[in-house]
Amino acid sequence: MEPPDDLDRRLTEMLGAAPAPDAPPNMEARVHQLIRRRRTLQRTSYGIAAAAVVGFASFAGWEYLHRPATGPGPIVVAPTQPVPVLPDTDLADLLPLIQPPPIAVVVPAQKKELAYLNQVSEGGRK
Amino acid sequence: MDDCDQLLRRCQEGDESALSELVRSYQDRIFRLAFRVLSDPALAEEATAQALFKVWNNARQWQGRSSAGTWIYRLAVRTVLDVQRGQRRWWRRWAARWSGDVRDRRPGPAEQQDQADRENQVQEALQQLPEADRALVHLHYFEHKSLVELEPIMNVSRDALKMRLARARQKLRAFLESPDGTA
Repeated sequence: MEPPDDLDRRLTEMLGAAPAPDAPPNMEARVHQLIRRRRTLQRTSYGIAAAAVVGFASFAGWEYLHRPATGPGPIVVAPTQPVPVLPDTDLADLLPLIQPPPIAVVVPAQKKELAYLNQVSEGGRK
Repeated sequence: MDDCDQLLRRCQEGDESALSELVRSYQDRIFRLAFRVLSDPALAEEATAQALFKVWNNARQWQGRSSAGTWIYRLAVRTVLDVQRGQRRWWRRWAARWSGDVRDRRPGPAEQQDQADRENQVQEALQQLPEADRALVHLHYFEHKSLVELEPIMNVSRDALKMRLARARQKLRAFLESPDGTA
């Protein structure tokens, strides 16, 4: 029986004599293209999710907040979880800090509904 | 922390120029691995692009417990095997009759033909092995990765790696030494 070292050496020689080719030259561009595609897809799905959240919120008597919070506490719906925001928080300062970026911001018509939307949003994620 | 670790850290922070450097540094190594396992340049290109895209996309999952290089190889092996599995399903359903013919039939001078024959012989010998073992043989014999380095990449214990390499060696030897290459 041939010692493993010898066999290793011979196999290394044989395999080394048959190198696999290099990658094609456009690989870098291709990877960046995949990244761009993914971002577009992400933006589209965020858009769809935002529309669904806003649609649901208005159905439940909430409104889509597109101005700084002045009334009852709003909720920022981020892709991973809803984030309740205290009343009188300036959303313009807060929004850039939320990562990943929020898909929608909704605000209850009445403050007592805040907890309700929070629950619904949680349930909706599951 | 080596260069590759720093580049991956920069990827975690969203620096695309760091990704470009990683791509340039790893594209050939990953492509060769993919080519050995998949035996198809177009598929190997696809798998390489997917693997490098995952490096960017999953960069935040790297916590520095292993080196960035090991992490990238592990991701690459997994991606290549996934592509192979997907291809096999498609292959079986739609084009089983085409399987097995991966020869390079480039015409050319005698030396080029000899080299092409050797490459084909080795590639055919590797086809005798399961996909994961092809990746293992490639990393061990072509990339000169030790068993210690291979353990986290293949996510298999060192003893199991030793056994698989020994089995692969036996199969390769039988194939390469048989006169008609059909052992």
